[in-house]
Amino acid sequence: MSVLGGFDRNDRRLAINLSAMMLRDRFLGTGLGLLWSLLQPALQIAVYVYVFSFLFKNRLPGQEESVYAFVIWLVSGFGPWMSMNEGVLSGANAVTGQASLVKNMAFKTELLPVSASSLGLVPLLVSVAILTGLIVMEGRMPDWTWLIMLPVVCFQFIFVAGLSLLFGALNVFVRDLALSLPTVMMMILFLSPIFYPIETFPENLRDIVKWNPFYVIANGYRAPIVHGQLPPWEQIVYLAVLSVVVYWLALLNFRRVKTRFHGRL
Amino acid sequence: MSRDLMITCRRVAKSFRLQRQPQKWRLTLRPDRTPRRFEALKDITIDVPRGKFVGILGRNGAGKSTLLRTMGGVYAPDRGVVSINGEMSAIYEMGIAGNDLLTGHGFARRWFDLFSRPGERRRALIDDVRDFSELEDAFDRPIRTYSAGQKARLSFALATARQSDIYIIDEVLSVGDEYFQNKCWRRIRQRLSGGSAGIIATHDWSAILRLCPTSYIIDKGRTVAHGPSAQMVKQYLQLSGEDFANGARFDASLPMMVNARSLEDFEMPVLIDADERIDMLFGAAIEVFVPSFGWEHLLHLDPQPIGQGPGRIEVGLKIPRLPLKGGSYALSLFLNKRAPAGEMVGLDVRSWTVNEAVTLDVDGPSSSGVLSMPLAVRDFAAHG
Repeated sequence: MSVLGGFDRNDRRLAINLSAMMLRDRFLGTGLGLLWSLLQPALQIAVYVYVFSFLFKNRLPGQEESVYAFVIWLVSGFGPWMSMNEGVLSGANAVTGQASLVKNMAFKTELLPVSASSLGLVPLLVSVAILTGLIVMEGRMPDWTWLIMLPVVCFQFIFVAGLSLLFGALNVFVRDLALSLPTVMMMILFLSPIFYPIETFPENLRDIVKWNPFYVIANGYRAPIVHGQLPPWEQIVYLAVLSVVVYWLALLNFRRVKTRFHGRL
Repeated sequence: MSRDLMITCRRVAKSFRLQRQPQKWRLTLRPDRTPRRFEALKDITIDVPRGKFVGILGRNGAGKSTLLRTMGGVYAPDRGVVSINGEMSAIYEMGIAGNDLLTGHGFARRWFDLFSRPGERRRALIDDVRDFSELEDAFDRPIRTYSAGQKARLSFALATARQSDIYIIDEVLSVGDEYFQNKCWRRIRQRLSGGSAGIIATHDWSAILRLCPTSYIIDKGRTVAHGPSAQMVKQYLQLSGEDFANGARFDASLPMMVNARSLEDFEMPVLIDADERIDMLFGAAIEVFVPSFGWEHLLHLDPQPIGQGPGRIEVGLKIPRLPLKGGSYALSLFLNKRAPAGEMVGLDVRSWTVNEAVTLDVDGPSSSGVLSMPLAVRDFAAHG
């Protein structure tokens, strides 16, 4: 754990408790309670599948007859995106949203955005469950290439935790950030080759676009799930380096500014 | 750090940057290079010894809450050193922090999740909180339906459910009804006898007198005095600036100490100098300090009219068959006048809180109790 900034065993236990707390708080007082955490991503997937597969009648090139093939392709990109989106948005609000904890409890406040970013793992699990169901219905079986998703999940988590640490700290000083972030994330979504193939971009842009970390992460799931292939190895190496660098810079920045939180919360 | 000190603060300072609201464009064009700061703590040095509660007295805004949060590790000090020598339980503010849709039960579970210690029986702790807070049915209702008193009960029960080495308690005991306050006192004494140390910040000085052998006064972020609590409280109350009307005062010849004998008539002349014509009232009280319970009021004389000035007036304070056991008592004297609206205005006071009470040393047997109960045995048989 020292690679991730000197958190000890107590910190880890606290981080898990904080994640559980945030998850429970979000649905507290609702009729369906925690069921919503599964229902929400499932409904979002349903909406986008309906729009792109049945209204726009998009199909994968070469598999024009198969709705399944396109839905699997769509969900394998949109699911990871939903997960990252959820993690980043929760992370940006993690410090300001838990002001009472920050003011009344002695603990490493950097655990808040890290814990919040783990909330994104729930929609990811829902998506992978739906995908597994679709694959089986299509008559295929998950194969060994799916194992690449394990390191991808790890680096995705580190990357999202990094963004959360950055935005979570900034949002204490500039509250406009968390407010505008959903819109910005939506723009990033439509600028990334997630709802459409990367081939949509002109050839000369493709070499730039393929380093978009959100695309790289989405492709880390799409390649094994859709094609039974491993993503290009240079993308995985790039993701590993980028996520750790972003995480560390954000963590150092968080630790630098966190003593100033109390005047602002 | 000595092993007998549970908390030490050495020259601790903490300031907050003040946020400038207007001129957003400056934020984007040029970062604010000279942020204004509010120095909440400037120079604080405090020791909390093992097995003792220490009081922090200070007016609103003196820095009490910031100090406690800095001691508890919530705030990092800008300068100075805070060392903690043991496990800590803290209540920094009244009321419940967090989601008020949670039930009391859910909040208790969350509290023990977040502050959990390995190998702890959470269920027993939650049961203890349920019993101690006496919330009954409300324990399973959302916190947003709670009254301020109910919230106070819940948070006190949570913070003191476990035997900790150190308790940090901010202004808790001023909330809640007297019944519950007493319960809180009992629990703190229980924890104290279990070996805990702690620190209590409050402007309720009577609480400090009852619990803390020594205390500190802080003012504008500095420790200004440290000593026995009774003395500190006296000093603190003067800090608060109690004003007296002019016009009359006790004569300078009033002794600092008088002697008396148990069960004998006690008589003491009190000279009063009046500059002008005032309707004066004179009152007196005899009190005794009982450690960990505070000042007990034993005898009391309601303010009586004693005439008008100007000039010197002599009042004879007389207590027939003084019913006190041997020991040292505080004799407080009050000189008041009646204001036009009818309320009493202080002219001069000699009491342990203001100036200095007259020490009353009583000679006599010092058995248990403080008052002698006079018993008249009448022989009914002799009178038929």
